[in-house]
Amino acid sequence: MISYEFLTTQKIEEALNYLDKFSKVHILAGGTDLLVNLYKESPRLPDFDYLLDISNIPELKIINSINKFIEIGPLVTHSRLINEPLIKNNFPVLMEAAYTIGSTQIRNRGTIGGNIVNASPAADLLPPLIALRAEVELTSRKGKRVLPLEEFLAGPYKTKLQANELLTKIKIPLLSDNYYTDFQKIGRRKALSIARLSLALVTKIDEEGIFQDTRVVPGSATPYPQSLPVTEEAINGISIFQINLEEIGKITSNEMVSITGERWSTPYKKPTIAVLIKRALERIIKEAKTNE
Amino acid sequence: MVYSKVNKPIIRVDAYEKVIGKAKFAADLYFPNMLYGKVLRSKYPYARIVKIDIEKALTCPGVEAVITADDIPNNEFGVIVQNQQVLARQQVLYIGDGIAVVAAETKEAAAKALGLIKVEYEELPGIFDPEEAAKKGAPLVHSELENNQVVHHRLRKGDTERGFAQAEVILEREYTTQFVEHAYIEPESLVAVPYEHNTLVTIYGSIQNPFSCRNAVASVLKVPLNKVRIIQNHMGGSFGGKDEVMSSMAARAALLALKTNRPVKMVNTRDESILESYKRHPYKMKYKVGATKEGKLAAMEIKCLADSGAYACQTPFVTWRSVVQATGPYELPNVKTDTYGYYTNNVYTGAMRGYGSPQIIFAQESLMDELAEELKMTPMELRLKNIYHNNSITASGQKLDNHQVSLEEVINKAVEASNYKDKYREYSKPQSGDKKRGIGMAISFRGCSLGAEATDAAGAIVAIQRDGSILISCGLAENGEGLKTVFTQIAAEELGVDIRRINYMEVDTSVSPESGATVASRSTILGGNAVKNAAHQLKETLAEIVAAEFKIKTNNLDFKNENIYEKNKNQKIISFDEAITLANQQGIFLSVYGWYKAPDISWDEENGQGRPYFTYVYGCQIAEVEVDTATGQIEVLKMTAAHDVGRAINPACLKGQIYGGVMMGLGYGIMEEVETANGYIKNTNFDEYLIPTVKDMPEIIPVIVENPDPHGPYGAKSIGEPTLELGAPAIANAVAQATGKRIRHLPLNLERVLLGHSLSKGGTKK
Ligand SMILES: Cc1cc2nc3c(=O)[nH]c(=O)nc-3n(C[C@H](O)[C@H](O)[C@H](O)COP(=O)(O)OP(=O)(O)OC[C@H]3O[C@@H](n4cnc5c(N)ncnc54)[C@H](O)[C@@H]3O)c2cc1C
Repeated sequence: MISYEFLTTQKIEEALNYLDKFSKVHILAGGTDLLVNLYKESPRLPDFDYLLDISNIPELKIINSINKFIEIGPLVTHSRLINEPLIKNNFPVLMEAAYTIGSTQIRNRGTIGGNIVNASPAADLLPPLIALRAEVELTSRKGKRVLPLEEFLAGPYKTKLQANELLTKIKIPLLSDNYYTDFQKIGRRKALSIARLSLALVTKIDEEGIFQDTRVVPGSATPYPQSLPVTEEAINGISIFQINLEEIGKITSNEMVSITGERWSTPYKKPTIAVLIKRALERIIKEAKTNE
Repeated sequence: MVYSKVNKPIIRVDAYEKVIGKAKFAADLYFPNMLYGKVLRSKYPYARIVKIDIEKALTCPGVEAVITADDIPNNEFGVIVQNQQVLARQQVLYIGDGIAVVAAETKEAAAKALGLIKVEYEELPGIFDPEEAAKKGAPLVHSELENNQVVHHRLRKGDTERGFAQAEVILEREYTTQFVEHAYIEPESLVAVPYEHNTLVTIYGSIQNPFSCRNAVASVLKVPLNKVRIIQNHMGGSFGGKDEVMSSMAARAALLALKTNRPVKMVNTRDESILESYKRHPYKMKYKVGATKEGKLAAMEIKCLADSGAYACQTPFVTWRSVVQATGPYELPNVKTDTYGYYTNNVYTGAMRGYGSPQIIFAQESLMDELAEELKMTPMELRLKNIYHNNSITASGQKLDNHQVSLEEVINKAVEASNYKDKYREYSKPQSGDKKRGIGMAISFRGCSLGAEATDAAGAIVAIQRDGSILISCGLAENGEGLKTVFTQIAAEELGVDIRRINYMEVDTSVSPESGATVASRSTILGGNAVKNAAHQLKETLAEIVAAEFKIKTNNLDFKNENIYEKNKNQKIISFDEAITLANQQGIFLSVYGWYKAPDISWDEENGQGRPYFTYVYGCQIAEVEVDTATGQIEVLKMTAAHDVGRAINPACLKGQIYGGVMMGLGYGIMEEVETANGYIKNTNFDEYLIPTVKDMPEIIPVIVENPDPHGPYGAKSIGEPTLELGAPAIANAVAQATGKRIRHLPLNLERVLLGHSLSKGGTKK
């Protein structure tokens, strides 16, 4: 049995004060990761004396469009990501990923902030968010800092969040019109399914049909989600009319294995990650061609 | 025959209380002064217990009692073989074995006390593969036995050597199936109350078979049966799973309740449930089949090895059903079948919906498709050439001459409802793209009820009260399938009264007539007959009273619409209520016991010949799938399930059985597996043990076929288990058509579909 004191507040200021004043405070948002860990007494849980419930802070639930960025409060639930026009219209890839998370109940409770800070290798929002070049705003009594999400992640279930910090915003730069996105996920069943493998693709296709600024981020493929620069470079500069999908698939497979080494699951993941990148590219190419 | 109450989809009699949340399940029960019991389970799959130190736990605040095997009058129980330990005495034999059990004021105190019990183990090298266990000189799981064999059943018909010599095509194949969990939504739970109502101990619980539970508790306590009372609560599912594991829990709780003289509640967590409870047997099956070029089966040789785990539990009977049905419903002049059960240090295995049939049907129906391919025939053609018809002789030498053998009808109806023929043709053509479709069928015959396993009889009380309201109590227990509703309909039909007159009682072993276990899809056919018999006796009693009063012949009376009519004039004579008043005035007793004993059967254990079951049901399921051949994902698009049930007493409940059975079959086929590694269970909760969700549910088309059986109440037979046994092979056959690759091992998970073999953290396994 893990015992702790329960703290709750409706104000960011007060939450930051708690984080500053007390040591060993753990933050509770939707609780869909945390409560499972509590029940299991998971070794992943840090040692803590206080549980700080932030779920009643209205400011952390806002979605806004500001200065070429969409800003998402960390308490925005997966269900809201699916239904919010600002997300749907600008980042369909995020919506698609959110839609594959858990079940209706989990999507109604689980939050984007929790998904990020929990930093699971299988977290479904991480690949699209990294691919979208999302940034996280971290706030403490001492001030704010902003980090690219990819840099914020420090390992499986590890981030660079400081003990006195709160994740207060996720900022995603808007994409120009000639960007295309896709999300692919394989699970063992159709719902309540942790990704066996997933992949987010964000890329620009210029007027000549040339890939540029490609971002490829798989999930459940590497110890924690990270982009695949070799694959991205292999795609950049190639025309949608000439791209050799088989070859790209191979490059992606090899890049994944170069990161993970041969693991028990490699015989399955190596061929299927090639399939996911191919499918993502195929879908985007088709869309680009119909847009012409 | 037109019925007014049976053959109708009436609302379940227990629906309302469940829907509004009023129904009490065992975990909802609270008694004054109640304690909470918790079990300390083993750390190792196989170990000698050197020492158990409970001193510290006893002094833990709130702890009232700690019991170990030394405190138990008779530590070993079992329905067939009495070798299951209530608590491990000298050795733990599997990872779920209990070692000590604590009763405390709170769950938290009980949990804390468990941490204070010190157990010193000497770990032993266990045996985890039934093939290893079968070897001469293998280490013994039960040291008092000569070898690890639990059971061996034989069946010999004709001469297989000659049969194979005549065959033009011979195939030999091996198939395996996995451990699966029942996954009932409600984990095991009960409360034991000492010295209540003149019994030693009363147990309220989620108990599938109250009488088996009573036998176990009484034998463990070494007291007569009439000192132990079991009252069944509403069940949150069971599927065969709440038998021995509940008996064990009941015995532990009873011991604690008697020791403390206080009620003791025990509720397993999901992890405890998956760790301790028995599973469906994994089978390793070797099939050899010979046929002529025209596709007539000439001979079959079958060897099945079942992993019994640490205890015998139901293995002797599970493997017996397998030996009877292993060939499938095909005429075969020459058959040689051997089924074996072996002890290992894996989690023990027992009854689970299907009971020895899902495994062999997966093998035999996969084999038929493989043979059809070899013979360049369609799977349907090959089956139709060999299936049972009226007067066919089964592998056990039984002539099927006392009921309609409706396999062909069932196949044809499923084929029509699924548009099988067109789709089979379409999907046989080359398909472009990664996603490929296939359609597959599986058929079965299934013996109804227990067969030659055990005595087969059931009883019911139907009691008309002074005001004409009616109570029914039967020894068979509602497991969620709709038994109460079906029995109520039967009584109402027989007496010609409204359903609302009837109140169906929970099973109470001190009141209800002992009827054996609620297993083997036997309730409707056995219990239904008992209820019908009781209601019929009452009807005769009332008919005599009315006939005498109105000077009409008894056989000219008709009980319907809450009244009694003169049949030939179709004229109402008296209302049912008035008839009851008349009986009351005359001092006539209106409570009766109904009894039904199943028709005689026979079995020769030496050669597996006889009449193992008194009747059979027939089913055909057809699966249509889409396989993503690049990722290994299977989408089951549609399942068509045609089942001859004799008569559908309640077509709505029956469809419920079909939908549920099909889904369980789907889970068994493509995703469910209790993963074990050297006796440890890797997935002990639903985050890792995956069962299908509502999103995985395909379109399901139930086709009810009715050929009334002379032995069934209103012709009704069975449906519970047949619905589950066909899904996995039908899906496997559909996947094979779609991919051109045959998978002979369940489940057909992503890795098997893509790579042909499974992967696990411990390395590659079959
Ligand atoms: C049944 C089930 C199915 C699931 N399926 C999926 C799935 O398909 N895909 C998937 O990706 N995930 C899945 N999850 C995991 C989970 O739902 C998500 O990761 C969810 O987004 C977590 O959000 P939360 O608000 O519930 O986090 P919480 O559990 O409240 O918190 C998670 C972690 O983040 C920290 N945290 C939360 N918010 C902040 C903040 N603002 N600042 C600093 N730290 C913070 C907490 O301290 C904690 O360490 C599933 C979970 C369950 C129980």
